[in-house]
Amino acid sequence: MSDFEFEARLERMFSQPPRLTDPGLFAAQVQARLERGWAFRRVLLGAAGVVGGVVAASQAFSSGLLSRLGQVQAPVKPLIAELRSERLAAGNDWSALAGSGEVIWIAAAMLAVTVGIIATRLSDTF
Amino acid sequence: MNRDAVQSLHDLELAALATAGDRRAFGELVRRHNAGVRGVLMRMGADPATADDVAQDAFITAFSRISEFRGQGAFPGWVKRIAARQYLKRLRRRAPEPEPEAEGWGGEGESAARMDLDQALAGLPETERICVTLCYGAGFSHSEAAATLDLPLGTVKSHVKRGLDRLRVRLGPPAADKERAHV
Repeated sequence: MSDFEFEARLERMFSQPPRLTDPGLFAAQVQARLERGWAFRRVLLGAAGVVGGVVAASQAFSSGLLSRLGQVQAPVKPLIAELRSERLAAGNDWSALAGSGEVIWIAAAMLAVTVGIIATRLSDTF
Repeated sequence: MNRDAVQSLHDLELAALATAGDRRAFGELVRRHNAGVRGVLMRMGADPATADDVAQDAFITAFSRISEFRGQGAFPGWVKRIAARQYLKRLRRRAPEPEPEAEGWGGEGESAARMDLDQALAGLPETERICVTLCYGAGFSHSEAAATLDLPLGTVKSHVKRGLDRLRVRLGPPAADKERAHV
C-alpha cells in the first residue's frame, strides 16, 4: 500500500468517531450550560434595570421633585396649562425647562430602565 | 420551529440560526457532532472525562463565536480545531510528566494483527499521537500544527512521519488486502 493510500485510509478511519454511549446526554449538558448562561444574562440585565430604577427614584427624592410637585399642583393648575400651551406655541424649547439638570438625570435613569426591560424581553425571545 | 424541522436542516442552516441566537439549532449541531469532537480529544490522549469537559467548553466557545464561522469549512472541523487547541492549552498547564515509551511497540510481530485505530494510537508516544491526530483527525496542516504546538515545522513533520510508520505496522494491511493475500 502506497503512502497516499495509507493516508487516505487513515483519514477514513479518523472520520469514524469512536462509539460513545451517551451522545444525547452530552448534548443535553451543553444545552443546559447555554441556558444557564442566558439565565445569568437575564438576571444581570434585570438587576441593571432595578439599579437604574433605584437611581432614578433617589434622584427624584433628593431633588425634592415630589414635594415641589405637591406644592404646585392645586393652586397653579390653570397656570401650568397656560404655560404648557405657551410652550407648545413657542415650539418646544426644552433647554428652558425648569431644573433641566434633574430632568436629564431622571430621563437617563428612565432610559436605563427601559433598555433593561427591552434587553430582558429580547433575551427571552431568542 | 419544531424539533423535526430543526433535525431536517443542514449544518450551515443550523449555524445561521445559531448566529441569530437560536440555542435549539445549536443544540442540534451539538447532538450531531459531539461524538466526533470528543473522539478527536480522546485520540489526542484525553481520558473520557477530560474529553467531555474540553468538548463542552469547545461547544460553548463555538456558540459564543458562531458569527466567526463563515461556512468555508465543515462545522465539525471548525469545532474540532477549537477543541484541539483548548485541550493543548490544558495539557500545557498540566505539570510535565516523563513521556512513556510507546506501549507494546513490538515491530514486525504485531503487523499481522489488525488493530483498531484507537488502540493503535494509544500505543504511540504522546507527541506523535497528538501530531498525527491534529493533522489527520482535526484537519490541521503541518504548519498549523507546528504553530499550535509551538514546535518547529520539521519536528512536527518528523513526529507525523514516525507516528504514521508505527500506525502502518500496527494497523496492518486493510481487510481486503489480507483476503487477497490468503487467496
